Amino acid sequence: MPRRPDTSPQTLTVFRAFLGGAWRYGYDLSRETGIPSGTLYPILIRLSGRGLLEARWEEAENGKRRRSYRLTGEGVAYADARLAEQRPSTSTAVAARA
Amino acid sequence: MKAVARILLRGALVLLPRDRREWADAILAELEETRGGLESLRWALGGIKVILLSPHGLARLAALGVVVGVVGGTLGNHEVFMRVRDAGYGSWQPAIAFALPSALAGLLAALLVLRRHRLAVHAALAFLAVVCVSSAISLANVSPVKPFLEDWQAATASSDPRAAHHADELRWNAAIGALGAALVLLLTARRQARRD
Repeated sequence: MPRRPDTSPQTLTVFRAFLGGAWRYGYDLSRETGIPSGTLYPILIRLSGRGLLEARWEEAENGKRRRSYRLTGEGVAYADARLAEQRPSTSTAVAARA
Repeated sequence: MKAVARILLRGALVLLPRDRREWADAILAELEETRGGLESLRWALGGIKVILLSPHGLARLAALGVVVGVVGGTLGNHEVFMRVRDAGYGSWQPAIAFALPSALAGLLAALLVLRRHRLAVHAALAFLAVVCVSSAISLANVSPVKPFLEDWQAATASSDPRAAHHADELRWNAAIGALGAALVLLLTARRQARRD
């Protein structure tokens, strides 16, 4: 059976990292989640293309430009829903192991 | 090491059209934040993967591959034609006339894909059609391929005891290589056009 979209462990990890609502840099996201750039950015590009993620360029303290990201309102609702879907199966799996 | 990573990533960035570099620019900007040479290299390689697998990156890579294939094939095989010509056979002329449409169609299609021209997909389709016809002729080993390769075998028989085998290799490699290149160019051009 095909997997539901955006339920890969990496995408769910990215959703969790965004849940605070703050703007996040790509490198910081990668460090926090342990997801390499080659996997992280396709997820960000996909979410952005569907209007679930917004991006902006900002000037960092060292004067260099960096791009930061955060979930849009629609993105937050979508991420919440996807993460909530995963919780029952996780608790079922834990209960089964116990 | 970070300088090498920067050069690699900037080099890959060239594959993308200017108006499609925003994400790659973002990855490049973050490269400056990485700590340690190995980490910066890993970051850059991940960025290169993102660029190469993007619709525009793939299409331009395929187009450059066709250009390299056509130019490289012409340079690599020119000796075969020269050998037949120098041996006094005339079959090299129809053989070149046979190979020319595929090469020109490939170069034109590659150019249009690189420029994201609105006719790029049609040109790639035309290239595939021309290649299908020429590959069929080549694999069937009929004129003008057959007389040319027979002349080539005759010209090289004294120096190459496996000339017949090499002639077959030449036919099959050229046909399969061209078909593969034309198909990849068409698929990537269509994907690029959908994103434009």
